[in-house]
Amino acid sequence: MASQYIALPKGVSEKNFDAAIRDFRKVLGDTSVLTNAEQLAPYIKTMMPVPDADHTPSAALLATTVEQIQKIVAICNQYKVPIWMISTGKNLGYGSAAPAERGQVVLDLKRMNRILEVDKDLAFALVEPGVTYQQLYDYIKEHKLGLWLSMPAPSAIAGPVGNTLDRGVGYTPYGEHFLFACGMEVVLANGEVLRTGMGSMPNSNTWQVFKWGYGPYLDGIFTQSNYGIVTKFGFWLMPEPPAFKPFVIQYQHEEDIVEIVETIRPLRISGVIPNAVVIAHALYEAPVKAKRSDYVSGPGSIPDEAVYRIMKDHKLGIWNVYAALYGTQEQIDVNWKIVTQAFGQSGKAKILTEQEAADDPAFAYRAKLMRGEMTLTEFSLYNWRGGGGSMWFAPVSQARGSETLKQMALTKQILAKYGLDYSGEFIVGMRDMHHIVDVLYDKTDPEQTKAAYQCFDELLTEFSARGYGTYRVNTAFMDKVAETYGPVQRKVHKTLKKALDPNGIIAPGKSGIR
Amino acid sequence: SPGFAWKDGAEIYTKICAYCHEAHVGPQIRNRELPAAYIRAIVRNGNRAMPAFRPSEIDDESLIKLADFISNKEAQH
Repeated sequence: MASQYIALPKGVSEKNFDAAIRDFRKVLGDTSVLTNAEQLAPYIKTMMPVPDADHTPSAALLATTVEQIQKIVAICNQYKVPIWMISTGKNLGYGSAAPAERGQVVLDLKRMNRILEVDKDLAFALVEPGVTYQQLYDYIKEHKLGLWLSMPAPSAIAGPVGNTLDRGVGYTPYGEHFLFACGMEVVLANGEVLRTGMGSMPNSNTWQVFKWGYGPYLDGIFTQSNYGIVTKFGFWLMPEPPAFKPFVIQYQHEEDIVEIVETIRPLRISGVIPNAVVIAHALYEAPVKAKRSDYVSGPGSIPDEAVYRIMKDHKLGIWNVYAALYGTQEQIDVNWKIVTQAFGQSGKAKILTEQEAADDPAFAYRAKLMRGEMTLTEFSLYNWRGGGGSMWFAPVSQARGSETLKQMALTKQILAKYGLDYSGEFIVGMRDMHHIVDVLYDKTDPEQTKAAYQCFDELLTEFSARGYGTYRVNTAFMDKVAETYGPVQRKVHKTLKKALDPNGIIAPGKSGIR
Repeated sequence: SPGFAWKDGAEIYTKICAYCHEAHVGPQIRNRELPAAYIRAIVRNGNRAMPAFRPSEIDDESLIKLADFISNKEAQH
């Protein structure tokens, strides 16, 4: 007999699932428990090169209060139903809103979307999981709070809670989002509510101002993990500076990345350039301006000769360094002199400011990201090949020129083997780089989809063999990446999991933890 | 106090759709008299490069207003 569900949780009978669904409805009401195919369709779309059936949820629950979530985990424990939490659910290229394992129930917190507090003087926010950057941006503008957001490129439709819980990044001086997190509220698998840091103390007013609290600092174990359900999240906001100066520095040869990184590192570490700088390859910026099909047709990766033509036609460097200065005009003038002198030394750099590049669409969207303005222009990347296939390959690198060139060359070589293009950028921390490569393919083409899967697998294998680890990955490859960090770390993760969630109901499979 | 809710179709269009459909990321969709049923199907299922949007993001009632906003000619608003 056909099931009335489009999928069932692993190891849960239909009879038990029926009972769980009935109880979920008692807690949430019928309209907030979704089980039919039409309602669940938007949860199934991913950009990964695996069958959608592998990540099909059995149901989705739309909770809005902490009390509802406590009741939901009680039901999950009773029937051993696994849940997969999402906040805004726009984890594109990392699994989107779909669960890690087929049949998990999505706990969708998008409607739990209150902005609880934004403090103008202390420059912090406390929000619920469903709050989007757009919502927060509008609130700050409406109340004239003079604070800036930092967000990833999906900005408007993404949100601070979900992004930070996967340890995502932005492009302002507050770009390392988890670094600026301060205070969480977490529903544990046993239904208890934990507030981290100073939040555990009755009558405390320092939850969002002092991170560590007393004793072991716990916030980190709730990021990229499945040890609890985060229901409130505090983080620091950057005061709007009096002046802002975005700029781009273009270079013409791939090997120039060595000079670029060696020049930037001291400027970043000393704070002369304070934001999360991006060193974007021509093919990362090209989709904003050019169509792939205007330059190449047929199979195989794009030849260098075509990339050079794109650069010439659309005023791009092979490397495009987007950075900005912030502060008073005097501070900016002093630092601008230091920056132009450093980059001017070899004569290879072409430095452009808003005066020359304001109308350039790639520069315009980068300038917006570096000042916390909403833009989805970077989604042009998904038009490069089209067809809805995209995975982020994101190895960590030292901020050392020779290392970045080595990683770039290796990535490009492996992508080419599978007929795919190097659409990469380096997001510059102080000492680290998030080397971010969009593995783009046409998901409507079965052969290319198969190649993309194998390509991603080989990228992970080859990089980990050289000691390069991945900072974040899509749900299809979480186990593989967990393996690369070794058995001891995995065992500790598992020990914590068993202690905090003995029935394994919270997102089993997240980061390879079960 | 309850959380955020959409005011009308124009607001959803401006705060979500326009970022792509007025910025050469997605195709133009206004003033094409696209059928409301088609708009609903694309929003809920996604379409190739375009992500899907869940009922928790754009509830069914708001999606009707959004589809109406997109499918009608601007002159009719």
